[in-house]
Amino acid sequence: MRGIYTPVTEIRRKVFAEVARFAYEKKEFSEIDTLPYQIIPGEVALYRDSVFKERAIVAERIRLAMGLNPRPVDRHAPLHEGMEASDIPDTYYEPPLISVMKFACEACPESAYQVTDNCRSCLAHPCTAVCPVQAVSIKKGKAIINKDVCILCGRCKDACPYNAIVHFDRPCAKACGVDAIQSDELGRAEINRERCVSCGMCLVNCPFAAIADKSQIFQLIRAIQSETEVIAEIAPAFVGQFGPLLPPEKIKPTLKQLGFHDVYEVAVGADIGAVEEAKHFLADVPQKQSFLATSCCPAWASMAKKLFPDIAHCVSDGMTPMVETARMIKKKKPNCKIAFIGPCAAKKLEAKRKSVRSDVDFVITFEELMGMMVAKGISWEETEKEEAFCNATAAGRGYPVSGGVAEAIITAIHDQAPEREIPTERADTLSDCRKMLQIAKAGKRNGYLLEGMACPGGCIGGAGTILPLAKANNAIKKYKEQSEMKRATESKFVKNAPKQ
Amino acid sequence: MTPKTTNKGRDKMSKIHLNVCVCPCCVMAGAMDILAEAEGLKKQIDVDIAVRAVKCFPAAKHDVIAPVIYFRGEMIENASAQTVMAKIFADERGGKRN
Repeated sequence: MRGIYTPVTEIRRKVFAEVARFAYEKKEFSEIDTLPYQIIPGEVALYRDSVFKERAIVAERIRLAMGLNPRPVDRHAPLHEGMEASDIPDTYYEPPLISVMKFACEACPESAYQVTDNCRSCLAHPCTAVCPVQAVSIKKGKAIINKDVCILCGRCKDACPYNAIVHFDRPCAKACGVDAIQSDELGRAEINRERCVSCGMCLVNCPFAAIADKSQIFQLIRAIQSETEVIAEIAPAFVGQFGPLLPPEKIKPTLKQLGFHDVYEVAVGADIGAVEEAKHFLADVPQKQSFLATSCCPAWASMAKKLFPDIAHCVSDGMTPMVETARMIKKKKPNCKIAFIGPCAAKKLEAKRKSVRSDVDFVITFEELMGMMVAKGISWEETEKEEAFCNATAAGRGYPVSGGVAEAIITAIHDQAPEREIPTERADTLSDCRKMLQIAKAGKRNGYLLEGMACPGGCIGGAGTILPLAKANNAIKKYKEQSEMKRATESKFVKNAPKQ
Repeated sequence: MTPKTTNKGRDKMSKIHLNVCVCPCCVMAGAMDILAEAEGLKKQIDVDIAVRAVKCFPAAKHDVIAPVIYFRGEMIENASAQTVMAKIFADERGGKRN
């Protein structure tokens, strides 16, 4: 439900703001038990059958927002249980990243065809005639589908002249492009950890807000409050996310007000990555590998490696812009801590990889940052100082929109080999990415550059974004146009690049 | 055939001014979504409406009243896309009767 503000969005953001406020005000952990009452006030339930259940779910969200696991349902456990351990100015994280809060899950039926009130029990009733397993029958003036027999072919739906038969999937399972949503013994959603790539699409699409990921805002604020120098690196999808009062030139001073020592744009790392992948393509495709798949989206790259091991070597092993930028900063300031701020849930998992752990210390989303700004009482209107980012090119700044990565790489390839023709295909959403890789596996994409993005529309459709997709797209387009440098090879951070 | 909603015949004074506060509290509470919905509605129906993102002076604390909108100058607290669209439609119907 991206781009539609619902009570699910409201509760999620309120939890981030209250946890951030709790951290800033350095309150005692025993006081955290009052937070669910602040977030869900009064005696009347607004969203569910009971206000107690609403508060219990919010309490689990608070624990997740502090990096903790949800509590077991079958024994007494106060909300603050185990919280002292999370009170550190460092990464605190217990896997898994994404959890289903079981008692919030409504155990929606899995994929099924259902007859609605549109059914007029017509004389023709073609729904019964076309069913290959006799699952449809007419009883008491209405078509009935026997779900035990139905094979989900959809022929009855297609044949009905009144559109009386509908197909539905569980929203979480439908949003999952890697079929990681299964059911437990009570029919509630359960995440298959072997398949999950932490894209976060289930958590933004669950209409009952029963799925949430862990946050690191509490520990990040503790790090900011400590003596450590904390530097923010902000993903290129940030443009426009916080509304017109916080344009790109005000991001740096605003984040400094929050306590960050400095701010870098990750688009710089995207420029470096684009040139590296261009070199990789020219050197290895098609001689050593049949195609090159981009690597910047961790959920897509992880899905490709998990589900398509035969062609996993065709996914670029280049560093993602997040890591590239972090390493660049840490070279200059080895003792600092780095917080990546982006639209993405999967980056939280990427930062936990052994090879990345020492580079990126914290990962938070735009929504979580928004919560920090509200908690700190930052007023954008009063932020008069402007400090524009001036290091990245339009190519790197275009990375978060579907097609932007391939465009940046192709331009960089043409700077080295102007005559080379590069067939390209791109896909967004993991289900479309899977289809693209199936075709590639069959050998039909040899010589191609394949761009995969796990979220709809690219990173701008990520699980931690604020701005509706179309607005985000326009904001990035405009920012790209304003960039002085256009091609990734023009970046001063790109070494040994052929200049146009 | 259903007649298309139109503003023909309404004077210039009838233009709806919808101002949406975009301070941090209001953005967190969905101000950008209200803007997007109102702009989307403008494209779908023929309604004379000017949608603007504004900042409140002096910088007000909108913690518990966000998002704040101004519909024809009237301040509405805890607004939502739903309430804004309802206002636009009610205004539109009222305008036709005049």
